[in-house]
Amino acid sequence: MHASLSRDTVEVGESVDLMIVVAGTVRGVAQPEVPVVDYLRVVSSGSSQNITFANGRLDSTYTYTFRLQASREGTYAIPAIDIHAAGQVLTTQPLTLTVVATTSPVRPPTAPPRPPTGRPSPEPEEPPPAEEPPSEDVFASLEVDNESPYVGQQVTMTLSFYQSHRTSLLGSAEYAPPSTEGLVAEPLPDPPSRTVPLGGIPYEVIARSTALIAPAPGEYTIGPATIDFRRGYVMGEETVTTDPVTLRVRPLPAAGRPPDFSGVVGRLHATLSATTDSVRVGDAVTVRLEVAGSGDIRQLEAPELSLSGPARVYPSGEQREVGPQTTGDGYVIGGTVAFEYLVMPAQVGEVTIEPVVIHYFNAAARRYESAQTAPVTLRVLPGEGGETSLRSEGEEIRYIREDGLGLRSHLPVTSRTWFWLIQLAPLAGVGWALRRRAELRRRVADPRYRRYVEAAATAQARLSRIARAGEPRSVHHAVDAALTDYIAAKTGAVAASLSPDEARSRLQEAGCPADLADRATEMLFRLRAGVYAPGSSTAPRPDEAIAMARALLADIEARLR
Amino acid sequence: MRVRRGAATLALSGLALMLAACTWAQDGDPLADGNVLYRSGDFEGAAQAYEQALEAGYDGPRTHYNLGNALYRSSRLGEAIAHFLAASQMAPRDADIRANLARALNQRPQGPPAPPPSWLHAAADAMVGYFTLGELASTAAALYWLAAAVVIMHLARLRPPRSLRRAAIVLGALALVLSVLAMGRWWSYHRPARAVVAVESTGIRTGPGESFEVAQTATEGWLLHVTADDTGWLRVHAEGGARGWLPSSAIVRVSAAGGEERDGAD
Repeated sequence: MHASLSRDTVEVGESVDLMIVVAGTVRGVAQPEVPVVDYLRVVSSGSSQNITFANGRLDSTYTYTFRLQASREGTYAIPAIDIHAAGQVLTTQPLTLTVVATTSPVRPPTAPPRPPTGRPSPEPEEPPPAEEPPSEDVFASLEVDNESPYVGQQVTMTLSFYQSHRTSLLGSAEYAPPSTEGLVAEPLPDPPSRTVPLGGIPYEVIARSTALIAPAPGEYTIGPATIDFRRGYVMGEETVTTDPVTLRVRPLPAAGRPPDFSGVVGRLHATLSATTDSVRVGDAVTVRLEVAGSGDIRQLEAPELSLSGPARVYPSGEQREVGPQTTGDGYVIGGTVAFEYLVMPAQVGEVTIEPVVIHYFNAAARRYESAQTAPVTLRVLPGEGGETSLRSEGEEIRYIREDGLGLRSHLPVTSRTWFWLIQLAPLAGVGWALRRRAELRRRVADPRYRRYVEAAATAQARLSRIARAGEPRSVHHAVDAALTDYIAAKTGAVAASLSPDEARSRLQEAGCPADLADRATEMLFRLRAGVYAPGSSTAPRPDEAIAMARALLADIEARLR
Repeated sequence: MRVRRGAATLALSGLALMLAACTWAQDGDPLADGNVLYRSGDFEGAAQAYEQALEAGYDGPRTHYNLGNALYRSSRLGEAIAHFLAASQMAPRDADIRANLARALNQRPQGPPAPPPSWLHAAADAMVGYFTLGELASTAAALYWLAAAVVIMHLARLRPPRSLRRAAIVLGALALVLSVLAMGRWWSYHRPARAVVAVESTGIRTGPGESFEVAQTATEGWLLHVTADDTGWLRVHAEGGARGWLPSSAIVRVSAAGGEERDGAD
């Protein structure tokens, strides 16, 4: 961002341009305001905007130009100017302007008097009636060229200072501009001073003109204006005051107002042009809409272009040169506003940019009129690579989503305690595996230990294999063998020589209670009765023998485990 | 008696479900206001509406994605990138989010100076960026369990088949790789916090204050990691390697409050 003056030093009454340039990827720059500096006024302003696409990057350059005019010599400090852009505030550097006295002779504002009058004068340049000489040597008048304008219509206000040639003033007169509250005021270039005879006495007339535009209907009071002057060193300061002027602003007629009325009151004409009449697919052509004429056309907004073929349109720039324009009768506010667009045809063929119509109100004719451009037709050729249409992939961001994606988030699983706790479970499994591995190694290394710990499982397996419906003697034998081997394994005895009585004593030595040892002894006696005395009444039935043996095994195992 | 109690529980559950459905129908889509403003071209207004939805707890990828779009259209590129990154963190395989994030990153006025990444780094980045942290962690955990089961069988002399033992080696290696990737993703998104430069340009200073000299100028859209906070100044590590301090007003943090998309039907 940069601010500069076209010249550092000017003479009183000369103009100097203050230019502010904001460049880069910044967008949405608001119109800056020049701070008020005494004796330095903004005569006109303009702005332009340029947007360029390069390598997928969008660059913008905003240029604001203010024409300043100084009314008094001195050194003026123009403070830093704040510029608002997309939520940011950018600030220019302060500037200094030196204003020197004009090199041409400065005439004191001497003017022949005419009595102050509030009469409106259709032509401010017209000399006042000269039949009777005015009663004052010095006086002023404030006039407007139209007391009942339309909203938005320009009214020219003229403040005239009359000084008789019979009177000389000391230095320059100081004037305070009239109040124009509620109105848009635009200073107009000063008309040259002139001499008019009033009642046979020549008067020097110095005038200041201002364009006024009312933004809304109603009554507006202008002025009064005051002018201070001295006739000599020893004379006191004198003041002349004008009468105030009232404007009665009319609304624009509702009848015939187009729906897309631009808001401009004046006269306009518009042209539409393109930098070339043929373009390749994928390339862009600059189309320029230029609107020129009178009226406050700063308020014009870029209209949307209507195209007959497939193409993309990007607004790429604006230039506004609006200020006082000279006409045969004086000055009016007007100028040129240009809008530029980048048009990128999307398909081979033809693209026609339809005529652009801008509606305005012609106050002189009291009716709405239109400025219409001619259409512009572009011939669209295949792209450099022969492509006939523009691919949309990746050129713009994809559209917002209305479904398919979640509306809420949740913490990832790694933020849950249970997730980390269950990761410890395999470690417990490893611990179990290592313990089992050691157990298996011990059983291999110590056959007695293995026999002891595996006795119950072995006996249960043997009992399971005995056929319940088998011959009773063989069942009793098998159950006796399984039970005897089990007791021998648990007590460290030799199975072949283990009698029921010895079984009792070994079980008791191993830690079994007496009743359990007695139960085992009795069971062995009954089984052996079935083996050696088949049909004995003490021998249990085969199925009963298996069940009793299982129960006995479980009880002994519970005690000796 | 037990049957009656079961029926009552069932009826109450049904009522609760109906009430929830009615509440949803009355509330409608919490992003609807923002979507209407976006469609009308009022992108600033849409961004405000989406931000309100975020504050109301709708912090899923759809909200971040739509907000990123509205901010992008409002020329707030840095903030847009931050929200696209947040959406990408939750739904990393969504094509729209990936496309708009890439688009926004390409729109940066000037990227940080950085050497091209090695193919290994690029591949790891692509791999990490393709899955959520939860997906990586869950998959790594499942593979770890399978491998651990085979190891336990082997240790316990349960004699697993040779093919299963070979598969366990592969699964274990894969679990290890995924664990490293998950840790990388966790690190990149949570510690240190991610942030994006949100102003046109700002100086990375050698200390926390305006009095320190500017070591490098960061422009809008630079990706950063915040490594320390000191009363309005943040120590950052930029993606190009630059380290220094930035005013906290110059950056926007990538939201890490949530984590992952809850589910698409929400």
